Amino acid sequence: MSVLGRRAWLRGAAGASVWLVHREAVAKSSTDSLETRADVVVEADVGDLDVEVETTAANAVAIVEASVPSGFSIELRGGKRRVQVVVRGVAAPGSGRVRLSVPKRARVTVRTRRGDVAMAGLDGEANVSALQGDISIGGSPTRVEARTTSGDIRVVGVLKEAELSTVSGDVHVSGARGRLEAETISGAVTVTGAMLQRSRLSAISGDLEFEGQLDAGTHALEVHSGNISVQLSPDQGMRLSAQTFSGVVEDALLDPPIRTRGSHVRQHGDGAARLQLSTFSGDVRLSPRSED
Amino acid sequence: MTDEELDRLLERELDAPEVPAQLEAQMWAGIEAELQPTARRSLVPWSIAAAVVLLNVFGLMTLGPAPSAMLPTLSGLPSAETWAPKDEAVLPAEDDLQAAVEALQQAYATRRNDLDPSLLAVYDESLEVIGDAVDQSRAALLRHPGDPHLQRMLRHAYDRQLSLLVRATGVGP
Repeated sequence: MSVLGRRAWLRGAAGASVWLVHREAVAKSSTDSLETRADVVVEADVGDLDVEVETTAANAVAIVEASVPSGFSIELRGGKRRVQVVVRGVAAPGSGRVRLSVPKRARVTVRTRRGDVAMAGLDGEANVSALQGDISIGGSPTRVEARTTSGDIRVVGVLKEAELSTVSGDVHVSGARGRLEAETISGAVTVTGAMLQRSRLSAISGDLEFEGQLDAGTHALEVHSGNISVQLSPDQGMRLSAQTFSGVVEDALLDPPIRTRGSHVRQHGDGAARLQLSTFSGDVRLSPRSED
Repeated sequence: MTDEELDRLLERELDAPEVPAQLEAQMWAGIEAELQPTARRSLVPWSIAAAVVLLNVFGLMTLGPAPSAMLPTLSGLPSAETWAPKDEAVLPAEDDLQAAVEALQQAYATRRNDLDPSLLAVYDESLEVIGDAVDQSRAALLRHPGDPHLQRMLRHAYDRQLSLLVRATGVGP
């Protein structure tokens, strides 16, 4: 049973839990797992720990690999509807890494203090909170909520909605659908291949870049000190208002392009999408999407 | 944030009347006419909420010399004896916002020693960035009173400042 540490216990299904207590740094693989169909909660209230989550077609949660500093413990507990992976330990030098596999359609929650969190292939929902560390989520998740204080956030392929927040770091989103909120204080926000119904991209110091399609709905890009770049189809129907205090607005979706200071407002097509672009000290540029 | 809340938030930013594209100047006037009344509704609860949360969590004691002087009125904000606006208001309800910011800044100051140094550096640096944004927007508004774009930028900066302070003080969700 014990594959990760010196001691491990497996209880029966009624009170299913697996304890893995590490007495020294280890790096081995594990097939220890518990069945689950819905919620997976990972709590790593320890020093520096990277968490990697991959998906499996099976309805089970497994610790695939773990390498953690001495004194850490990993507990896998729960049942068919909810599994918790709890990493505990005293503050210790060094860093660790845990790799898990979860059901593809699981709703995965990860809480860490310091360390990167990466998920791949998820079709369910992801809710990740890290004090310090990068967050990367891929697959086709229906919903993503990611929050870090110091670190970048990268999300690929979210289908319905995403709320992404970092204080110091960049946010990269590609292939998003539905609703998107992305914010940083110091960093860039880059959105590519999007097809959004509602969106709000925000930064204080950094550039905002958007490339994609805007469906009927409201869309706001707002930065204090930074440039805004938006790539859309020239046929994009919208009501546009673009403003800068000390920069210029260039609208190259128009032929010929226009370049002006201050504000620029126009409507194209049905105007169902409402697009607001605001910067204090930066430029605003609209241009055609490359494939257009 | 629910879809409805996000819609309301974005509508606040974009609530422009339906007008022909050629009436650009009038359109902006219309946008601002729509934005100004909503600004107070949207920002005052934010500032009150932040201050009330702060006052509740920190038990009033960290914010002033005498708890009685800090007992919140219905607004939940510090009394005039303990706080006064730094400058003439350039936004509706800006004094409420500044009071909330100042209260949260004091709470943050009391929590600094509990924070990881690297995290503290991130918060300090980011708060300085936002503080600069607030100062720049305010200075511009003092030169261009009532400018709707600048007001929106200042509201944005205050909103992010409050949000970050709530996060840094650990009183938020």
